[in-house]
Amino acid sequence: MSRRSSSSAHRGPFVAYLASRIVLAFPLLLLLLTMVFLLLRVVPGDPVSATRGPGPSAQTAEQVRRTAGLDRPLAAQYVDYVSGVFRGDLGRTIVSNKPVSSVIAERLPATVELTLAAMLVALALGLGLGTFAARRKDHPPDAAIRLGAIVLYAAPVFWLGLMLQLLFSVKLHWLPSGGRIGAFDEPTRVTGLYVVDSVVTGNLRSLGSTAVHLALPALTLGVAIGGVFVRLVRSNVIRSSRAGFVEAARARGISERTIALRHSLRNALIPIITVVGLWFALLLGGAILTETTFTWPGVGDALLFYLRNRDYPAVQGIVTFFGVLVIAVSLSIDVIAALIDPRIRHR
Amino acid sequence: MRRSRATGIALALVLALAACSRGPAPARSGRIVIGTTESVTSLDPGVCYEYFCASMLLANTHEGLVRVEPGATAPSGALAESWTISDDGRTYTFTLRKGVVFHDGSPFTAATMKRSLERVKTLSSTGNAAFLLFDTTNDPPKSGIASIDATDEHTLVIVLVERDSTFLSKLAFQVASATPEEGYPSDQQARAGTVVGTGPFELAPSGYREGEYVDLDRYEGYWGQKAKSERVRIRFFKSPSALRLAVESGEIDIAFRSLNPDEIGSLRKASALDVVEGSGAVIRFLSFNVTKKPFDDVRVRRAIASALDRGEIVRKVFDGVAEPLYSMVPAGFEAHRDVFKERYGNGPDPGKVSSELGAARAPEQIPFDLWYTPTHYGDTESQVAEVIKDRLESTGRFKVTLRSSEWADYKTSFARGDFGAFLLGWFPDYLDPDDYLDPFVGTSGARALGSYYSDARVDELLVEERHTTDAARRAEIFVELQRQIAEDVPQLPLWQAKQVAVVRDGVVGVSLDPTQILHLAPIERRR
Repeated sequence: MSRRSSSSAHRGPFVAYLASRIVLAFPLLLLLLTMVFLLLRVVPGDPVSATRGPGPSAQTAEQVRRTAGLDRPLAAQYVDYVSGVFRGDLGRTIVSNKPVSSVIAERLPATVELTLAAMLVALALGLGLGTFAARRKDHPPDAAIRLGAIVLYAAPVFWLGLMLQLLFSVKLHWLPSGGRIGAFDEPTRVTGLYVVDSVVTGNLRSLGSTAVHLALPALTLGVAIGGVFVRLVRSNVIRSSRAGFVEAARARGISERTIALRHSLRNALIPIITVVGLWFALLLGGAILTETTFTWPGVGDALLFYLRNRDYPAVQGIVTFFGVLVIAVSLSIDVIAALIDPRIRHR
Repeated sequence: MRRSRATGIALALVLALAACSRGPAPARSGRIVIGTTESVTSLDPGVCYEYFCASMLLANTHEGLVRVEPGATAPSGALAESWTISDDGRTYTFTLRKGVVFHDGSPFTAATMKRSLERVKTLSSTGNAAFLLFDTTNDPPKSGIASIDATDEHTLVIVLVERDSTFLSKLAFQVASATPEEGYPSDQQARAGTVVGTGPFELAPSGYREGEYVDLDRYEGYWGQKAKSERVRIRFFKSPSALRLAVESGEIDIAFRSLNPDEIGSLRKASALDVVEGSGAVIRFLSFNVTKKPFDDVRVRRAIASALDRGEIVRKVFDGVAEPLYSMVPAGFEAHRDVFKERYGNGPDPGKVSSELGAARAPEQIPFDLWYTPTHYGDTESQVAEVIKDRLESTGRFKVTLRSSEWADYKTSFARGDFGAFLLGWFPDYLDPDDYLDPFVGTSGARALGSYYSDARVDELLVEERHTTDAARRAEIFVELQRQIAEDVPQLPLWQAKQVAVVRDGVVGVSLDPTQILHLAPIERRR
């Protein structure tokens, strides 16, 4: 069989696999939308009384509800909301009357920047310490690293953040306690990612300010999830170095380097990619606590603001956005995993 | 190749980090950063009705016909140079300041002022403070403004439906600010991020990031005394502890509203910081629904008044940043009297508790729910509730169950009459004793605020007070109303909050007065 025909023979099951994944994503999305919609309406308090002072009469409050469409039957509101989401319309916020999508667009770069930086910290920590622990398996350094990883994983993010703030901001005065950049140091907006924008516009002051502001939140979030990576990398490296196929490859006289890159690593990657991908999606949402602790102006921070003001459309929109993101990320992980490991798509 | 590029970027980052690693960005002269935990929903004077928007932002970017100068309680001219009031007290003729220009370059005239005020009425459905100026519930109106006329470019005539001695004070509230035509549609709220007025500060180009900061630039075309600082940034924080860290580490110059009392206590000891205090016009009180058992019996309310220890609350919870309050009209007003101290003494009096309850033939122990909200008045609220519960239970006559709900829910619940006893606070709209009496003991105000108190004689007195311009008669009525509250106890005043700002050394000009306004213009950095 030629190489070409072999690859087209694989494509059929792969496309079917992909299609089934996408089709399954829709009921999941609908379930999510329904839950968000209902939960918000079960919570006591409504946007009108939450955002306004004690002044408005019952009559004016009624008018506000009418303009926001909150006086309509629940079913009608639900249909509006769901059909809007499928048309890509997340509605308008009540408190500031602007499109929810523009709120997300404005805040997303900050969240993405924090998430990426935290991911880097977590990966560096995971790959470095994980491999090191695997090599020193069952020796004191391994035990120490495993214990440390469990403690970090168990520590609440906001507590970790507060401790780091106390140490680095208040005691040592090395790093700022919060915010995304020093006052008046913002770079000219190109992508919204301050690191990128500072580099593109050659603004060193911004870059420095961004870096010091990013350090603590990224460290907090990165360290908190790094604990998981450390254990994951460690166990995978140990497992794949013992695997039968590695022994077989060795027996066939394949070089250690090729074994490591083509066999061990490729096999060890699958669970890691899955976890990295899922954590990335969760990180985006989970950044809420970190963003609050460090006054980081991301989407999580905005979510908290709108939640406090019972701004249904805004909260619905943001949660939906996160939900779609998690679904999309897990979908692409499945696809990537299937591409790397043919066994998955043939299952 | 790829590796060397990555190394290069990493190196550049490290170098940049090293360059800036000497703590937070150094202070720049001419620029001030203020931090607050307040939040913004709208920036439109015709819409917003909350502390930050009105008293921290619009008070510095916008002006109305009159305003209350720092240190004063009576209004004086702002965009109006002078005015006359007709004999019947209904017609106000304002002579407007000439040569005033909005931040966008358009001129301020009587016609723009008329439009700005009428816009407020049109937008009353947004839940704004239009009710201060207009009767928004009755048509034809029974009170408030009847008509506004621009008789020439610089003369504005406002006619009221009926005489109102508090009208000028109400006109000083930011809802009555002048707004230009451009950007402020007459029938809908301005686009998010629009801030154009005539005040000493204007919004910097792309100076508003929701939930992050507002940048204000000195308005060079200002008609009055120009601001001292070139640019002021107001940064929003989510928690008092984050605000505290920022002022401690020097990332912000001023922390204002709201730090927790224990944090203020520890910041007092820091060498690079000043704690600036000012008397506050915000009052805190315990409110009763007088139609709900057991509070429908005035003797039960009086017994609670005799049992409370305000000094204990101030001492245990507020660490000295509050003062005990013995009247709904706060100290600072001439009409203020310590009526509750006169009536019940200043400490707990178990003898009085027993005699009141004995007269009421109350059961040995009265159980009730005490409501508070943990999400509106700061982290101290649960401690306040705890102290009150302990004090009341120590008399042996009450069994108090503490219950709490989030502010959004709390507000609807007390107005609906669900709560029997609940903690509440009041931020004045205008500086007049009337604003501390009418909302609480006037029949319609009391209903909206959940006490359901109603007394025909009290209502008559409130009308009379508003109709007379005789200051002595008004003062007499205010004292009489305060005594009536002490007698009937629909509310129980507890403490008056002090305003506190924590300021870094080298920053001057921060003054806090009963208007609650943070005046930005005099603030500057001095070496």
